[in-house]
Amino acid sequence: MSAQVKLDDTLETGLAKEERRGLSREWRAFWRNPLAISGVAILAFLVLFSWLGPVFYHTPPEFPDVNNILSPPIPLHPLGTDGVGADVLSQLMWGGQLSLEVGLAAAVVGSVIGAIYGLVSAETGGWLDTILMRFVDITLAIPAIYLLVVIDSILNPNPVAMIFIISITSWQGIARIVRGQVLSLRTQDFVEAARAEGAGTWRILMRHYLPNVMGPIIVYTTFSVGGAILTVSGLSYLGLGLPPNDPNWGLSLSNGVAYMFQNAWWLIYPPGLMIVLSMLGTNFLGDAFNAAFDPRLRGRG
Amino acid sequence: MLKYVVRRIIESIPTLIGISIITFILMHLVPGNPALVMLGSHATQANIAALDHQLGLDKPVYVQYLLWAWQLLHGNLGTSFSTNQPVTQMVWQALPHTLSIVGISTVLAYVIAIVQGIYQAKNKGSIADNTVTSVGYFLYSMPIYWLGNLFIIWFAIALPIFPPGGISDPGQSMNFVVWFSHMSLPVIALTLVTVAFWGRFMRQSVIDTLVQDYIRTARAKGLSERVVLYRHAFRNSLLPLITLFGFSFGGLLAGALFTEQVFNYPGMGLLFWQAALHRDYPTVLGTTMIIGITVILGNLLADLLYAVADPRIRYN
Repeated sequence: MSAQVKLDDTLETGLAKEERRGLSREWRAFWRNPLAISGVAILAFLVLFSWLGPVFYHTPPEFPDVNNILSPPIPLHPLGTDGVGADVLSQLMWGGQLSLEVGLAAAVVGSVIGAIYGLVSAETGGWLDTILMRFVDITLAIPAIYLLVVIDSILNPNPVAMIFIISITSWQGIARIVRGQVLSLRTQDFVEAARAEGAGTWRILMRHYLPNVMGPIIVYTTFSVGGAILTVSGLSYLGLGLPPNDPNWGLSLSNGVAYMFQNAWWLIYPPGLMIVLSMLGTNFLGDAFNAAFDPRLRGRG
Repeated sequence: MLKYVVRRIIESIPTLIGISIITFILMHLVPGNPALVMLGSHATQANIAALDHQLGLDKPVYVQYLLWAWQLLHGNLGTSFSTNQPVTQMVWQALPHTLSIVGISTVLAYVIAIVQGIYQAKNKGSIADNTVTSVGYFLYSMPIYWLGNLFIIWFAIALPIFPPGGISDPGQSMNFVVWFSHMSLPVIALTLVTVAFWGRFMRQSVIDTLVQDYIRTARAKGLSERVVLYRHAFRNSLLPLITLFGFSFGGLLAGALFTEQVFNYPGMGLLFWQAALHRDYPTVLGTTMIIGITVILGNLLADLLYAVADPRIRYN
């Protein structure tokens, strides 16, 4: 018994060391990639803009300046005001907090749901696996935005409900990836060795599966953050989604395009640009993670 | 080949049943009693019970599902709350508009993605390659509901080349020029965001193909670079693009929802969105069901095209 434990430990320490060395090599590859630097820089800018911005810029987002309605940028309002005289810059700062929070949370919750689903499907196998994967096909047949609009029109969601309903329409991709990875890991020698030594399901899960599926999960989640920001902004743009009493980027854009015939460019370009920047940042970062974690992609352009 | 086609069609039946169940469940999550909605707030208890009976709402849920599915199989999607028209009729009017903008965008996106992919793969690492990649990143990150509105501002307001939306101007009779000019901006917007995704994919696909052994053999045989590229590499790098169509078809229909909303184009997306805003649930769920069926048929089409293009699939 004690010998077995020792063997198990040695094997695991060896593997853990290997993983640690592997990880640092991946991180070095990651930071050498200009895409990674650009992605981190863009996302850092958005986070600072949304959370640190209001610390320095005190104009409240909902306060209507009745003397300056639909005003182009002036010193008092650096990005102008909208149709009721609310300050665009502070709307974008506060709106950024909500848009980024909902996007990040929805992507993470969706990945957790998907990872667990894929793991259960692969581990149980047999007919349950078939049914679970068939269910994934079915939910993918209806494009997520249509399901979201239907659920939204039934529920009138608050931000927390919004996170939940976006995540339950965006977990399928990661479920498929994790299932595929676990199916191939199950038959690998090091997992069989661990199992033969009597390692429990939990231990195999935490020590062997998780480190190996973490790369794809991080890559996928990074892309999902951008996707979720696009989705939540799109729903607000359609007049649904997040409650309209708090600013968010999609809502600002939707309010802005109503004034396109008045040539109110300051209402239309800045909110769209914020959404594009968050998409660019997460796409750059996702590609950089992908290139770093997937050895086949290293050194490819 | 026929055996494969039949098998693929049979395989898609459980998915169809699945989306009909999801739609049915969503219909039952809708707040409020349909009979009450139809009769208005002055309905008496007896009236509601009578209509419930007439609509079959007093039967067990699975019987209700079977009755509903039976109607669905006969092409009956119910009656719209807001227009009192049969939903099927509204769908039949809207679907051709959506299929034409999605269809034309798909063809255009394919052509551009293929040309772009081959050019970039051939000139990998050049300034042109990097420029196209950067533009692609930007377009790929562009929400179509923003891009569409910018197009209206640029090409319908600032430079009035195209109409800002709709399918024809009021009082205008329908002809090819009217149809084409109203469709241009929606199609260009949908094409650009699709190309951003497919072009990137095609570039990688050609790069991967160019390092294959049969390409080296073709070059070693002394074939010209032109023949190698267009006869050998091109055809083989097309295969992933067919799969990609299957993957992207749902995304194209999602893009159509926003495109039609932005350009006020009377397709499935606009019908669906307006019904959702008016809480017209029979129309919302009817269009959802048809969108789901369209996606499944699109995937089926992609699989069949793949089998035509790649003989290895058929004999599996």
